Amino acid sequence: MKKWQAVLGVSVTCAMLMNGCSNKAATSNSSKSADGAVSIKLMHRYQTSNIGKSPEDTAVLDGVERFKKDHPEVEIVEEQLQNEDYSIKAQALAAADDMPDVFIVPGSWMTNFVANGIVLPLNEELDKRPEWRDGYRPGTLDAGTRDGSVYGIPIAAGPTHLIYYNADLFADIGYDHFPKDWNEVMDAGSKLAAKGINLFSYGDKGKGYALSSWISALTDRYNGPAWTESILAGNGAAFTDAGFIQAISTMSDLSKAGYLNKDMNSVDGDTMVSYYFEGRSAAFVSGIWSAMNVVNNAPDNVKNATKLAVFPAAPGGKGNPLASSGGAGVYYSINAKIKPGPKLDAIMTLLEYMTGSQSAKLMAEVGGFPAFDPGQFDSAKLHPIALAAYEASAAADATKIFDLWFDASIVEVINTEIQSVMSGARTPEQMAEAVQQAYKTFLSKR
Amino acid sequence: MELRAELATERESPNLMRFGKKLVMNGIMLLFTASCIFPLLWLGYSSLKTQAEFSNSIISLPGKLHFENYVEAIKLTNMPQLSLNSIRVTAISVVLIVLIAFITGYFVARLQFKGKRLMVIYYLFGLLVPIHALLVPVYLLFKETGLADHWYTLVIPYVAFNLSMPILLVSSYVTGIPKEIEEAAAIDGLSFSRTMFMIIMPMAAPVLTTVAILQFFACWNEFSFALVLLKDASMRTVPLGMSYFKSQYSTNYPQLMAGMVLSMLPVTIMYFAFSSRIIAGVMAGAVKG
Amino acid sequence: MGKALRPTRWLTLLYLLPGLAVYSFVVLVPILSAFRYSFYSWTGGPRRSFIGLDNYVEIMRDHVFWHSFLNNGLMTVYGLIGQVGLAFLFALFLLSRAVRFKALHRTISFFPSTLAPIIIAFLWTLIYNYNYGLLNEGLKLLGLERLAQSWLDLSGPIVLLVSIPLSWQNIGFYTLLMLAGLSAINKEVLEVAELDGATGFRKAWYVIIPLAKPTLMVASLLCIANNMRGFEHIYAMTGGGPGNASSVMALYAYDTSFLRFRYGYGSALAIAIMALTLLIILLSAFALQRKRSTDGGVS
Repeated sequence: MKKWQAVLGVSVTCAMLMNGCSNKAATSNSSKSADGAVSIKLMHRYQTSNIGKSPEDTAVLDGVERFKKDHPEVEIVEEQLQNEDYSIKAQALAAADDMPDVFIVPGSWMTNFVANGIVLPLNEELDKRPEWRDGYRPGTLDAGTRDGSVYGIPIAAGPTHLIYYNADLFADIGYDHFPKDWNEVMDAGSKLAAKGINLFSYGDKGKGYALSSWISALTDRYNGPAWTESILAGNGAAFTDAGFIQAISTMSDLSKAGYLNKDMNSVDGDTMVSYYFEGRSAAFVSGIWSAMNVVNNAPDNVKNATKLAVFPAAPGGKGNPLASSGGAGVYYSINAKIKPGPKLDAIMTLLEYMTGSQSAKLMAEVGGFPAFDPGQFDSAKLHPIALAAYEASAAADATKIFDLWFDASIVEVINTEIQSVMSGARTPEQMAEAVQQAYKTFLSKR
Repeated sequence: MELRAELATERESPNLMRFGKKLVMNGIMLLFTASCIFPLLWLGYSSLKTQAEFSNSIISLPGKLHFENYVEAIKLTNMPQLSLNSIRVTAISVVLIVLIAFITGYFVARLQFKGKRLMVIYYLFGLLVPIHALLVPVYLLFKETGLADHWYTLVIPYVAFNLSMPILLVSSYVTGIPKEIEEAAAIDGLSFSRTMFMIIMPMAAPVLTTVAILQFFACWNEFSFALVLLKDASMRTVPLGMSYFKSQYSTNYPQLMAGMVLSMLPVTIMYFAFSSRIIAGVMAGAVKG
Repeated sequence: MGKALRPTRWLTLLYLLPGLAVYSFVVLVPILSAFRYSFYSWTGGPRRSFIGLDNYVEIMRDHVFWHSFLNNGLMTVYGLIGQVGLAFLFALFLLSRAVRFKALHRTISFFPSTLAPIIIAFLWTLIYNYNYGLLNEGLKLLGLERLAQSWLDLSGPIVLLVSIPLSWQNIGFYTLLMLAGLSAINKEVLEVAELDGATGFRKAWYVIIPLAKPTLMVASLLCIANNMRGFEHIYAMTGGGPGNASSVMALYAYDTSFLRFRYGYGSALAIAIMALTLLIILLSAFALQRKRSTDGGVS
């Protein structure tokens, strides 16, 4: 008797608790909307715990704080998520047409979000604030722009391809510079291999690393930017063209020769960098975002020996050998349902706080490369590596980052196929064939 | 009885063989048990190393205990809050699962009614549902009914998606209870409900314990619904915290391991605190049956 | 049930309704909406266009999906051996008088079942790791250094390699299930089997198997269902890689929705997964049932 009464009691209590709570939630919600104050729902992937570690998180969240101080009348409801979690959640919300007011959109999602009317065109709002609008570095708005309409405010920019190398290890094998051509690269690779060191560490578990840090820049070395434009416009260029196959072959040659770490497809980017820190590799290829990782986490001997380079020219290649794939990759966008008015004004002001001049200065000072040009900033505290990365970024001729520009269906095929090629299960030609197939399907549906 | 006699006639195998068999059986079990616990011990003691120490020799014991890995991990997250949320959601879900599974399982085992077969198949169908492929429709449903984003939100999917197996377990267990018991109860004048809850439910305690334990861990560890259906950071559960550790420390293995250990601590403590009772519960049922 | 009381019809309804209601709400409704979306081309957001059976036609021709399906099948086979098979053996051992430290074995072997998939995946990714891995370290200690591998980069045995952690985690659970099921068997039968060594064991086998059949069947069907919709461990360990080598159906459906923005096709895949799983379960249930009836005929 007692036992089942207890069980029933517990469940009744539960039910009552549930009711009580839901009522409370409902009333508090309605009271909020009633008094007409502006409330902005913000969802992004910058996290308070990353302040001081990541330049972007530091600068953007500082912007939010400054905004809160200057505009106490505006309520900000913020949801911070880590990268992977953000992607899942944002896409579930987008599919359900239930996005918050302000959210982050990676450039590669933009076409889809624009086509589905999820994001708001911002030209009019930006035109009201020309000084802010014109402060962005050339090209950084591009991946957030479709048919002339700007749908996203960029946050950070910079190359996705840079080579971080340990000059001491290269000096040991007789190189006082990073190899100047691909013969030298292979030569250095074999000399390092003889000492049990990998030329590059490489970590593509996350699928996407290869495309953004290697394939984009390498294909450009061979094909030049005209090919990329032709692919994007759908007028003639093909993935089965020699240059693309050569770029992939270059990568698979490095893998076949054993100059990369064996576990290249099963470790992530962070492990790749720690292999470099531990002296297991003499170099790694990554974007500007790794600069602060080296500065903050590398052991001193590695940190002091680290220098920067980009891929050497390809033999007979059409691309600029100093170019690097780059630009802004991630944008803040606004929910298409927001109408012009005080709320939209408040949101634009918030975005200016988060990504504009003051935030850009802070981002540069702590080692980031903001999309908004900060002009002169206090670079005294910057580590030489971070400064070198900043200067390389500012000087680099940015070519297109493929994963931001190609359709998601093609990106997915490249990301998957490159793993097979690097593991030796497929040839570069087979990969080119498969990618071309996906490309054709995409074109036919367009 | 016949069988026993038949078997008894062959009771002549030499002692040596019996000893050998004993050795093999014990050896296999010990090996397996070691393989279950060692990786976790390794996780535990490695979390007290520095990254340099760890990459130097991954298997050696830490020279000095680096508790700062834990200090850092605790500083960066709100484990007590996460645990509290998890405990609340899990406890309510488990109580409801046990209750619903018992009632349904009992009806299935004991009563004939229209549509019974259909109902069983309907419940079993839940075992086939690929939850991760259905996140969008689930989110849509919760959004449209206004059930997303409350502290009890997670209880609903946790109960629903964890009913199938418990119903199966309960009904097969109750089938094994002699029907004479209910007949006797009826003669004593007990109502149907009283018989079910006061006589049969205590007898089904072992299987209900098993159900409660299994579903406890299933609910405690659930990640996807917790991610998608909740917005408010103050309602997040432990697995979301874990995912957060993973993103924060992926360069530093010992640190990451400290985070992992910290996030599995509540469950581990609970498991080992109650394990003897849990196992005893299952075994009591086994011996009686 | 003869003399025992029967509940009235409305009481039956009252007792069964809450469970059915919550279950239908969260399980059935989303499946029905996924079924509806599966006839649309839907890339997210409010716009959808009806395309009839196109998504299902595409599934028929989708190599990656069928490759994933085969991987699920392979995982199921490994699961039946590694989870149900081993658990049955361990349960017999644990019922035997010869085995010591029973409580210890039961307690420890069930412990992995209590851990979140994300922890299991992390732990095993590390075990398999080339530089920091326990597996390679163990090989080194045994002097087999040349066998050291970057395990999760091997396309060939990758499905087996990701199945091992699953078995490792679930054996404890299946062992408990078996123990509960085998408890119905007369203790004396087991003891006799044990005392009599090999011949006794073989004889007892014929007694135990039919008695344990219901449990074995439940465990097998559970194992099939779990492996056919497997997701979390693979997602966290390999993401389906290298290439598509370890992809499984649920992961593919998930990627289709969340990486390729094809929610309509993703929904169709979800429906296909359920249909295929159901088919396999029905077939194996049918096979097991038949086997039982033929067994019955022989003895």
